[in-house]
Amino acid sequence: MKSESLTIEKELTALYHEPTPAPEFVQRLEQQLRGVTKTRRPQPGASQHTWLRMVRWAAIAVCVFSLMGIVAVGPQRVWAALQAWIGYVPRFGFTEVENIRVLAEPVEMAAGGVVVRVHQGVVTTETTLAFEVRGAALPDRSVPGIELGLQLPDGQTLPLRYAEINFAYANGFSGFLVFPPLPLETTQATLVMDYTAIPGAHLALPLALRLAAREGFVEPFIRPHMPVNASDTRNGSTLTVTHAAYGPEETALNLQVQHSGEWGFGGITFMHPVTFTDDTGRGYARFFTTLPVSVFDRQPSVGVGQDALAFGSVATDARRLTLEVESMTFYLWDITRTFELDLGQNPRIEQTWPLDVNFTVADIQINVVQAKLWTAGMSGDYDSGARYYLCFEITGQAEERLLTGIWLRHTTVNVPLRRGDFVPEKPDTEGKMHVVTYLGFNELPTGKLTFMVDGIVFEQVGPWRVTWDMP
Amino acid sequence: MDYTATRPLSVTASRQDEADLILAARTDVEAYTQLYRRYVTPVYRYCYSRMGNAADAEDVTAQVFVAVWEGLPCYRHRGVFAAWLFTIARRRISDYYRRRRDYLPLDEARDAPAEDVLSAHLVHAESLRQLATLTAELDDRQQELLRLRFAAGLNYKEIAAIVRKSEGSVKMALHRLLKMLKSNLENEVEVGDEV
Repeated sequence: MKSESLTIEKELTALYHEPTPAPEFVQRLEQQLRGVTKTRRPQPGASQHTWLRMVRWAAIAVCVFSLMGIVAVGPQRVWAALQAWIGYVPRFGFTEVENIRVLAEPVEMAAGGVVVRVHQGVVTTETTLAFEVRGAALPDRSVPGIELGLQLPDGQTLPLRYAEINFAYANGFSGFLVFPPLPLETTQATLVMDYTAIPGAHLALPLALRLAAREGFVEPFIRPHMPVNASDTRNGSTLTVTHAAYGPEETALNLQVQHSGEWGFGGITFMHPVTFTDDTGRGYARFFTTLPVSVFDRQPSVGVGQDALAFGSVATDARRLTLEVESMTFYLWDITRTFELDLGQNPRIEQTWPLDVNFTVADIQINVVQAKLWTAGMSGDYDSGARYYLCFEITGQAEERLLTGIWLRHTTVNVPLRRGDFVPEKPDTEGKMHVVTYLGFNELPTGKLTFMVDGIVFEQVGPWRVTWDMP
Repeated sequence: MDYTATRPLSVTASRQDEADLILAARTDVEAYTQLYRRYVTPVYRYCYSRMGNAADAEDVTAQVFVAVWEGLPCYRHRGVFAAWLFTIARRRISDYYRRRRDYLPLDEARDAPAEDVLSAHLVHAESLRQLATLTAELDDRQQELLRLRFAAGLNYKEIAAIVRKSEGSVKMALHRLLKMLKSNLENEVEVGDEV
């Protein structure tokens, strides 16, 4: 029987309207939003994207992106086809060659005494639109407040996804702005930079994009070399140099890490000592910038990770290169260990509770030693906007592994924003780490609370030593 | 002005009313609360349709409305506030998955859980259950169109702004999708009857 009377729209509406938010949730969130809007009121005219915010977010983004930098190889044929069309764009990273748009020419603009130059831009077909910006130093080398956006010809404005800008250079600033992807057909956009604290410093830089190359490795691409047998295995983890791009100003290496554990590869950050030398004894300085584009980030899988590092340009008489990495970061999610803490009925700010919670993750013995109740700023302002935290003291020990971060979550009180309520800190010299966990606002919690360990970050000690011949 | 409105956005107040509300919500907590009441249900439904459980949908819904409050001073109203709002929701959901699963694709459009979400709805009527199965078999982009249209209750213009396509192409894509679903559903019923 055909259901002639079926109205598909009605059915779909019924299907998708099945879940309705619980009234208590709607009401509770409304109350909590009122609290948030009181304490986090945005300033009219002030941008969300101030440089301060950007730098803070950039730091977070670098951490998150490096933690999320899990990558892998897909099916062999697809991967082989992809390999054939990988190029390196100096300062940006490894990317596919086809259908990449780049800045047609650098653009410079001055207004209100501020000079900004967009040096290059790379638009990939998937998710990344990255621009390299440079500018003159501001009088006091301060971190300025800037409203930022990328205007498209149809009037739509793309918000900034993340930025990595270094204002510390004496002769100006330099860094990257990364936006969401542009529509495929778009070749024009305007980068709007409004310095809120500097009168007249409203910059609108017109950016023209061109297709980089239809065939072959023409400018700006460098064809990377794929070294043979460039691997080293230590403690169950194999480090391989899969691609090396030898440019006139820099050498970029794409690294692949394979391991047998359940954990993910978190990258080789600036905290990890790395040396890059050649057979003549020269050492090449590492560039402390992140390459914002990577074609290798597309097909993540468990047990394989990627990272890219940049160094000074290799000398022409070098025949053999060696990369030495002393340690690498790994992480593990979904641990689902829980423990309880009884605050009692009358907890006091700065009160301490001794704990002795022990568990083992990734062969690391983790001990939660104590907890201390804390409030935002410790200012004594415990009014309705006050936020409450617990600061845990934690140690983690293992052979050739060092616990460097832990994700704790408070599960008992259903406060919004509970995810992300972690501040992992580097362990101090005694191996102790202090982790701050958010408890909520408005009400000081009492009684028994349950905490969940969502994940950990650890460093695996090497060193890994990879050597290969120049082509 | 009375901003009270808790009905689905597609049948709520006029564009001018919404523009006034958004303008007021930048500085007025009460106006922001009204904006919240107007959108909380469609945002929640959309999150639920992507995440498949109430706890996570509530969590992300809360994050969306905090982000909207923080972003309002930068928002320039061009008649598609819902598109901006749901773009934030999509991003928050993507962030959620990025942090929860290290092996999910990085492309935002592809990181929704495909099969489990709709099957979790467990709709009662037989035809709805068959429809849930059929929609779960669609590719991620098709599912996303359905979610934006039927869970979030967005109009074609708003969906077009989110998925960065023309209004016409969204309309056409949804039209074809519904036609295909209807046809498949009718075939399923026929086969079921024969069995």
